Amino acid sequence: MQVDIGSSATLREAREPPARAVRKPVVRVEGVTKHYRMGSELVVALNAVNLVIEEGVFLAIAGPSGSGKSTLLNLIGCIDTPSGGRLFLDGENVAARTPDQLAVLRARAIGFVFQTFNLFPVLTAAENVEYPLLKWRISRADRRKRVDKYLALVGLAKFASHRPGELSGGQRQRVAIARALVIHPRIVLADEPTANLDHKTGQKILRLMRKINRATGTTFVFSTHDQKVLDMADRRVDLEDGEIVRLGARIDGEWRFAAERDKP
Amino acid sequence: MAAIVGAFRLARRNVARQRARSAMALAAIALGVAAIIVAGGFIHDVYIQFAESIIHSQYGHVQVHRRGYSLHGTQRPMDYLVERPAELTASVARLTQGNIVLSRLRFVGLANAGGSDVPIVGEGVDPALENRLGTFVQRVAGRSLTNADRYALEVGDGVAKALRVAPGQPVTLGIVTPDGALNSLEFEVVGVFRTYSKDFDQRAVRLPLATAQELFATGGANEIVVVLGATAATDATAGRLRAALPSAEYEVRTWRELADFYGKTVQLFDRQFGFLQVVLFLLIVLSVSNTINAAAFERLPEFGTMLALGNSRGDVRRLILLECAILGVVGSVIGILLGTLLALALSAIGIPMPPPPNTDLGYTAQIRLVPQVLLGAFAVGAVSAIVAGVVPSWKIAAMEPVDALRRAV
Repeated sequence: MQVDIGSSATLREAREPPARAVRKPVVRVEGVTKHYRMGSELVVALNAVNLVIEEGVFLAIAGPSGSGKSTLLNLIGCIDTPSGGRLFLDGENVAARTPDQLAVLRARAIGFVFQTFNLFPVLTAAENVEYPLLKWRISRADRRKRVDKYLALVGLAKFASHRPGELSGGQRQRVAIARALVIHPRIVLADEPTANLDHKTGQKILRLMRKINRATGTTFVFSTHDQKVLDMADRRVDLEDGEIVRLGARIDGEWRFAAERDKP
Repeated sequence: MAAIVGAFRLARRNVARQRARSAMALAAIALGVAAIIVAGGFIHDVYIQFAESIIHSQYGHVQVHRRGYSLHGTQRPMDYLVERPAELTASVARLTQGNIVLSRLRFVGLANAGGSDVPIVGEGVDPALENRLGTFVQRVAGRSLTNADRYALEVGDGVAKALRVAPGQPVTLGIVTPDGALNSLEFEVVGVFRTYSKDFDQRAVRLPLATAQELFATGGANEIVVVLGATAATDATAGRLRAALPSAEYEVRTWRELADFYGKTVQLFDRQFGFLQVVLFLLIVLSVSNTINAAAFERLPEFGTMLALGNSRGDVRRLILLECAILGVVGSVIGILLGTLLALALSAIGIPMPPPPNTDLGYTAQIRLVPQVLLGAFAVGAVSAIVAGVVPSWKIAAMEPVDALRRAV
């Protein structure tokens, strides 16, 4: 059974306003499995996961440590390869692509926000944001314009010339968000984006992401195990032991769930 | 273009960021490059000193002979006489634009003193000009010949030892004249000399040209020797002489052609120096690759981030190799400066050298600054640093982005 967070008939009919427009799926995960060997033991990180992510959603992947959240995000982000199943990005099966084709896909369509920020320490905030654009054939002036726009969007216009070492954790994560957005991605993937931040800063970062999601319609998928962070999402996927255990949508501030494990 | 500029900016700053590791890599490259410059400069000094000692103790830069002399002159030198050497000497002097031109009468014979006989190779020489040529001839005892000498001899160190003679003692020379008559004359030894060649010193006897001509009842000479202001002008001068002199009558030979052992020695030393360069290249590769490996694997999350942001594996490889190239170029420049300073310092002090094989003459070596050695050393430094980065760059670029990202430091 395929679970469609947004357009799944069950969820939509039960929990969403009927007036909601049908959105185009950005990601479709079909029976994806990921396992790896740890010594002689075969560890199943994800087990036959099915999922559809529609464009424009602000989706949280929740679950305890080791539940497969990061693995699922990595597979969606095409920085890891599934052991089985199929994964479609904008309707195209990414499994058929070579590593270099996947790199092009990531450069064009996927923005990443990491738990540890992963900024280049030797580049300034502006240069970090500009970095993904360097491979694009756009003029220096256009690059500059985009960088300025996204640094301003995350509230760091005044810190353009600062290096990561001169910024706070929250500011670094804002730079990372600007870097993810500057390519106008189809989807932004954020792996525990608030885990290295204090609660207040984490909330601010999530609110910023949410604001951008609403303002630009950019699809955001992030993983977390923090309940307060979860409550800022409008969709959620709960994982346990590599399987989706339930799907949720927030309707009028309340979570409504459908259990994936109950599938026939 | 922007990608290249961006990659260079990132590479340059990464090299500057990892100060300790970069300093270690730079030190390894710089020391290797400096070692090549010093070793290469030393070997070139050996070449130059060896060449100059050959030129200025025996051969001069260019010699003109009657055709066939170089093949058979050793056995029958008197068969290749230039009848009017003064005319040829004047022509050669004109063609070589005022350099020293002298004529010699070379012969074979027997020297006798106190009951001992030694086969000798005699040279009738113009003492004043020969003394100007022979700046690398070492005086062991006595004095050199002068134009005022008549029945005076200078003998090689080996001849003096074999005959047990010293300056002031008599030596009788016995020769066969071109028409087959035996002739002998008594001479006084005025000096004992030593050249770069022990073999030569064991047979060499020098006497005034006029006396030698008297001994052989001839006015001729068989070697016209040209001494140039600069050794580098040898080939051009030889070319001019070959073009001007009738080739059926005369042969023109450079000191390299006359001393073929020089070419073989240079070949041997070049091979040794080449091997040394390979060893230094490998040493630099090993020491730099160790540093590059450690530095690159510490930065795995950065490379993972690069891959996640859409860079290809080739981009990652290129960045690592670019960083290595920067280290290589900077290290080589430092190495050239260091090597140059060392060369100048060592040359100022001088390196006392023992006599080379088959000679009795020691010398003071210097470290020459040779442009092709500097270029070669630079290339070795730069290329070895890039080679050192090949394995780590391939290993890292082959990783799945997620595996590189997981290695959070």
